[in-house]
Amino acid sequence: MADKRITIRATRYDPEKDKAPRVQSYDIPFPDESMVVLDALNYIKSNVDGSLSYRWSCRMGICGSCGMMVNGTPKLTCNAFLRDYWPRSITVQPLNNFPIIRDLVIDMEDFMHKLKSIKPWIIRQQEIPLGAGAHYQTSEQIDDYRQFSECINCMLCYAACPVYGLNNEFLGPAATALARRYNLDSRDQGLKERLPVLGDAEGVWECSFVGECSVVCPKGVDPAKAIQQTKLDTTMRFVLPYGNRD
Amino acid sequence: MPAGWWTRNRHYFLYTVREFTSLPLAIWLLWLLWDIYNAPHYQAMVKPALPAFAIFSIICLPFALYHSWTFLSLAGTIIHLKVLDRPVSSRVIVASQFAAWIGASVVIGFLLVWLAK
Repeated sequence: MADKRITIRATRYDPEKDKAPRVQSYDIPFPDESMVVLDALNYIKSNVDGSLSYRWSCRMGICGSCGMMVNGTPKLTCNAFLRDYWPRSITVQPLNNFPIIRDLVIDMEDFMHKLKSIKPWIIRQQEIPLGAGAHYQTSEQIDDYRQFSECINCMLCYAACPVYGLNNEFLGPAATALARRYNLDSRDQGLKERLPVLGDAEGVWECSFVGECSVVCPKGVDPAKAIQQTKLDTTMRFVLPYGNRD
Repeated sequence: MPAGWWTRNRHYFLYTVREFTSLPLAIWLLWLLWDIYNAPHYQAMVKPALPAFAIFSIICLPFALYHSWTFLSLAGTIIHLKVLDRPVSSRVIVASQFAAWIGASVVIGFLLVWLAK
């Protein structure tokens, strides 16, 4: 039997040469069933075309660097197996809804700005000195926010979100999920600092609950849930007597 | 975003259908309010308008059912509830929403039939 091969169709774009992104096909060997799309890109870069640009790091679904559109769906390429596509060709494109820097590399500046705006760290009104010992949490308190803490900032949810695609001022899924992660943390006291960003016109209220962000999340985070629950919480704080208390 | 983004996958399509269903419902509601507003002024005109309104209501019914179904199904995601310090499962929340919906429909239906008599 002839050696198995697969065709990878990758987006190429050099802002100094190309007016618009174009597609280049690579026919490469597929000798190992455990190969993922990232392995295929690495093979191309090492053996076929060293100029192909893309981001990657850990190869195990932790760092969130290698997110790309694989046959039109946002995926971590280290977690997209060639065997799931073969014998069809695989089209690899940069993540939707972001400007392209080069080939498969997107400009993530907008997301970084949004991430910083929700202050994704524990905020205390008064810091507890290290000498005071550990700040204990019960497992129930951890369960409140655990799933939102699984976010790896891969931005697949932004690529899947048509609301962000239509209006990139929207705060977006991952930033809101992380804001919720800290707002639900029993050690955190920063809700009032995050509310102006979350409750802004471009905050959670911009979301019309498509839900695709939660479908594509490779870590099982449910950003759509975070957004809807934040809507409900902000409404309750506004409507209920004493709702705005700390 | 290309104009046909909503045809890219099944979820986008169903989302767009869900959002679209609110349009006939809004028209239905405006029509109803218009009829109520005009009723005291020319009652004779209300009756001839009823068959058209009844037909439009039947057309709107599947839209209303689909919109209600999707809305109530999503309630389990939206509502975050704790009873005795334990989170209530989303299935229970969705089931309670559907039960309340069916209950309210029965009560309203009964009232309408009773008032018509």
